[in-house]
Amino acid sequence: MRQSLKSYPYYFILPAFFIYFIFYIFPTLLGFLLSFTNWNSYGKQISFIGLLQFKRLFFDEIMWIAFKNTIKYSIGTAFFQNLLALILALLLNNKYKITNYFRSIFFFPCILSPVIVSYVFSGIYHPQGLLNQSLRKIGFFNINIQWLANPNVSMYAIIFVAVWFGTGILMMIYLAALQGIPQEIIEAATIDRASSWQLLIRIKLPMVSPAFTINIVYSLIASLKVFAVVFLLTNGGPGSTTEVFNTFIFKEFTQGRYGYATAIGLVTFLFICLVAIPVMLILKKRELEI
Amino acid sequence: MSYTSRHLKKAITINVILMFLSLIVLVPLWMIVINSFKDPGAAGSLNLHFPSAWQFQNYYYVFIEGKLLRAFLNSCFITFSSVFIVLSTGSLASFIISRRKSILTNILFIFFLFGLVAPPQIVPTVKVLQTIGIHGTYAGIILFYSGVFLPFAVLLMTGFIRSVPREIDESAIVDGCKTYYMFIKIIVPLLKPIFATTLVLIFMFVWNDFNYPLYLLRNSRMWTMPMSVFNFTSAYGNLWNYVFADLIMASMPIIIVYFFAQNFIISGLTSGAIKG
Repeated sequence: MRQSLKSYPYYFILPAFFIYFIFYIFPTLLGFLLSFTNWNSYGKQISFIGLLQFKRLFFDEIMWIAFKNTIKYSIGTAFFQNLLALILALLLNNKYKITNYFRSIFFFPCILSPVIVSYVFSGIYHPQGLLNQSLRKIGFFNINIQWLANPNVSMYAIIFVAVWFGTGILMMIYLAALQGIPQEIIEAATIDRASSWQLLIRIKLPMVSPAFTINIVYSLIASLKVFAVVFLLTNGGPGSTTEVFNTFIFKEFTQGRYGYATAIGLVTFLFICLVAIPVMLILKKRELEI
Repeated sequence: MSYTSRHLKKAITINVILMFLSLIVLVPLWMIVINSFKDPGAAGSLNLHFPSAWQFQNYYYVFIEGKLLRAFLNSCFITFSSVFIVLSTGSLASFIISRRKSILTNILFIFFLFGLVAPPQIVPTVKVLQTIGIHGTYAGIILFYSGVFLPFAVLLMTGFIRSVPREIDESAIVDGCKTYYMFIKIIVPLLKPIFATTLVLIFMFVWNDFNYPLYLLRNSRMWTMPMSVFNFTSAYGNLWNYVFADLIMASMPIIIVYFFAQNFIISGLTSGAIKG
């Protein structure tokens, strides 16, 4: 035994350890330190300024807008993505020949870069774009909505884009869960004359609850980190009405206020951990009860 | 109503609903394809009509002006280097972590798992890369991506190696085989399915990522595909025919891969979401 352990040398771990430590863990730890400094592009000297960045952040109006928008975006996106993904999975859970084509179509947007998707939708949301044209064609002749420049609708327009390209992967996870339900259970329920509705509510949905946990946590965490769609569609505008954490960080970064950007990054980091862990625990517990 | 006709009715209803829903995906795609073949004036009206004259040369123009070849090579280089680093270092580390059951390896395992929850802190990363002197280089962004994906690879690989009986490597060692040789000859071939999943995930993420190159790559000669699209669109913003042609050209590599390896990509991404 002792002899054989020697053939598993610890130094095999070192390359992975160093890469992970230097390029992931160390920056995270450094973030805690740098957010207490005045690090910026103007002065050469980095000096310790205590909680000043956080105090500034607390009274920064844009911070609160970004906070509110990130939550709004995440809840809206996670809700509609999961709802639509579940509906699609239920519709696709059959053996028709055509089903495979539908599956490929609905999954397709997932493989595209958010950059590509954002520019496709900037063509659709353009004041003279496809959406307004279609609305005029079906009878709203005078419509001229500025989908991305009107603060009342722009966040919903962005959420729609996120649902458009993020639903496919969740759909596949629900579909896999539905296909994993043993056929005997469905048959037994059918023999007992369960209606399709009862079958859905009493059997299918409870049986896919592990997939709920995965999908809700996954879509929430992914949308809390949103950057590209917001940056490219509205760049946080008009004004700061659609600002989210990551666009705010990037703006401060390009302004050269690195310490401040780090402080926002740290708040985002803590916030994501704070949301993800309890959500995971609550859903896990409920899953066990069912 | 008979059993079969009820089934037929259900099948038709489901497929008609699906057909309407699939239009939500297909219409935007049709819009960019059809408008990419128009002249600037016709494309500016952003409708779904066929072009009066097909402008195939749009694609040639975009390929040259959008510097797409350079961006394609950059994306390939950055993606595959990251994949190589994650798979090679990750499998070595996972091998030891799963074979030695000591307090140290347990701590290391939890240490690696931490990276699955926490999002990377990009601004301090810039500071670290600047200090080492690799900010704005290929090495900087490749090592950053490797750090981000190592936790995931370690999680998958340790789980897998645990299921491989120790007796296999012990017998090789008794036969006088060196550890690294045994690792490459016996363990690595067994890890193929996990290599595949990790490959798909890193490929899809790095290839499509737009957030981190903005911070980590300054020189436009190193830009990846999404960055080149961003740059091209900023310059040609209102010439929709060129913008759409650029979007299509930039997506082509991934569409081709999806066409040939659809199930491979879907299962890779899905299991990535489940285990991540």
